[in-house]
Amino acid sequence: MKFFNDQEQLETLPSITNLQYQPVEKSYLKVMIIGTLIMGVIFSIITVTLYINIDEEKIIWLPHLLGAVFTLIFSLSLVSSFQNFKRIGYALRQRDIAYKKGWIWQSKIIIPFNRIQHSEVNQNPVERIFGLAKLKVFTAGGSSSDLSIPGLTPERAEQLKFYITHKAAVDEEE
Amino acid sequence: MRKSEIELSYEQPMRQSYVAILMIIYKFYKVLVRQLWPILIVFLVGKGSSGYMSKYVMPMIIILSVLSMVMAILNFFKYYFYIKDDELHVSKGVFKKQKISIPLERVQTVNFEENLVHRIFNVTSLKIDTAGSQKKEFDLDAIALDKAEAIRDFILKRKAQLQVNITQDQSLEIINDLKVQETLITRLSNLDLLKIGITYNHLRSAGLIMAGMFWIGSELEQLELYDLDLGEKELKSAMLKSGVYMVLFFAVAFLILSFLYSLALTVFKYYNLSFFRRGDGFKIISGLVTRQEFSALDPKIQMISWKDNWLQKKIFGIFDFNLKQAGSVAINSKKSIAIPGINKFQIRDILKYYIPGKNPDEIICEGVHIKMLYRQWMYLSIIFIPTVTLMYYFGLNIQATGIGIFILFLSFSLYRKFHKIRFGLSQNLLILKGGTFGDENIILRDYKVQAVELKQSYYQRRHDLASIKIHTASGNITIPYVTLIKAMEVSDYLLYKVEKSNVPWM
Repeated sequence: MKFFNDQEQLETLPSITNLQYQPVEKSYLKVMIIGTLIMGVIFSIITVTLYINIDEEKIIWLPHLLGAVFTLIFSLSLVSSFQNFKRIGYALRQRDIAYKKGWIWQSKIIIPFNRIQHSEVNQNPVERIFGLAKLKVFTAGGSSSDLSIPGLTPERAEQLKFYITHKAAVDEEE
Repeated sequence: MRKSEIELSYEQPMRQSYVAILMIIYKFYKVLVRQLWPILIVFLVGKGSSGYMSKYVMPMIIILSVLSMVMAILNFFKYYFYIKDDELHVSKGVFKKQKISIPLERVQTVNFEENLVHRIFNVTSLKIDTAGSQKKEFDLDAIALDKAEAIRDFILKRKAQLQVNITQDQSLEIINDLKVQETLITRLSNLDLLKIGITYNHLRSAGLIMAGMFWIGSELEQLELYDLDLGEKELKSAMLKSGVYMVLFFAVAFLILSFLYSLALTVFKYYNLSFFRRGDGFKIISGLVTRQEFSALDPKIQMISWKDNWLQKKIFGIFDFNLKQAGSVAINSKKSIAIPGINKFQIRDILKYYIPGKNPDEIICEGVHIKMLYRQWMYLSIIFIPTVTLMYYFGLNIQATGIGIFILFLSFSLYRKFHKIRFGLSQNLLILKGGTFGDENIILRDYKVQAVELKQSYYQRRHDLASIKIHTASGNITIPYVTLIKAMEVSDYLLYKVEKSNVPWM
């Protein structure tokens, strides 16, 4: 091929084409839905408060409009929770980690181990209830290239973290 | 190891130059004014009207001034620095003592910056940039210029020795004799500054003025339509004419103002700019009142780019050149060093230093998929065609025509932009070209990539297309709308290069 005029044989390059992505834990869907529900509750409170407190004739339509917009946003994010969940996946290779996400706008990010600055395992309260954790991987590429894999069991998250750090260290030595 | 006299002299704790007191006070007031300017304005405006201002605020300001002066002096006398055991030590603080030590091999660059006060007293401020993500800073407010230069040379030389020591323990003497080589790449003359000032983004201002003229013109026509008795029509058309003249006058005045402003800015910032190759990095000195010196070392440079606008390209053939460095803590636009007024021969020189033995001109580049242009045109039509139709419908003919012409211009720009995007990947380099009426070039060494991201919108997925976002430590670049197969190939290739590479990216 003319395009890459280097020595490397392209056919033998490891390819990201046929990566087998690992889905995250099923209970993470519940975490996502709870997040959406919390948003819905906040929306309802705002709308109802406005509805009760507005006496002015002129802006009586405001809570109605707000309710309609909120309902639309809420149902969209509910649908997207399901759709997004279906498409979350991660894959480990010998020298990098891949993560895919997104429903309408999909993205796959691949971070080589030898570019990882550090990684950490996080849990927010809702995740703790469901026994889930989040693996965060940081690079020098700034926040846009930082990776956060949610919906892992704490053991799996730690295991991944160990693997990544260990591999990164081995790579450094080589 | 036998220590030389100079080395011993650095082991003695040193103070800054006395000018530092001035600088500390100056910095204090700068912060104070920035924080409290609303109060100060109230004070200045309303000093006649209210007595309590002069009763309470004035003494407070005086007390603050005296306190800051005392603090500055105390701080100055408590600030020591010295170099011992290959570490730079700083001890400072009046109430809270603080000790910092920076290993010399972690020092990345030593930068100078001189403002007017510095130059009057022949001193400089000194800033040391370290590697890694730890936030360890070393800042001197004022130090004698010759001393600063001596310290810098000493640190950089010792650092080079240490780095060699780590890999192979030999021939210290040779390196000791080795002077850091400095070659001048370019020095901006006053003519160059004028060129930069002339070509500074006036096109954008001109576009804005054009749009404004259209609007005002149509407003004036409205006036004619509704406010007129037939007999006064001549008078009104004279007014209309004078209105047009006024707009023209303002346009010209604005252009001249914009030119003078950008020229002044250019002169202040880039006066007598000298651009050197120094050791394994670049050094830039510039500035009229505040003289700044920057260093950018090759390992820290993540990307280089150069671009021109239409004027620069057609008339002078000059580029704005950019060295994009990795920030130590986070991505920071200040880490990008801009050098304007560079011509293509100088760029060739710079490339010869930064990527020796490689010729980016030989890299075969290819464009992106035509669907990108179709998509952008479609968005444009969706937004503007209904708008223009509606405006015609309501009789706003002039505005509609104006917007119509503007859309045509935009579509043409998008067309140009699409055709300018080209990317190539070879010789361990990634090249991305772009621009609309000018040119943009980005060169990235493949092992500087931090992460690769493939993005697909619903539309792209339907057509088997994808965008590649390449993350580096000095920002991202995106190759938009390539076929999915190509995107995979590029990603595989980059990842392979990064994962195979054992050259540190910084």
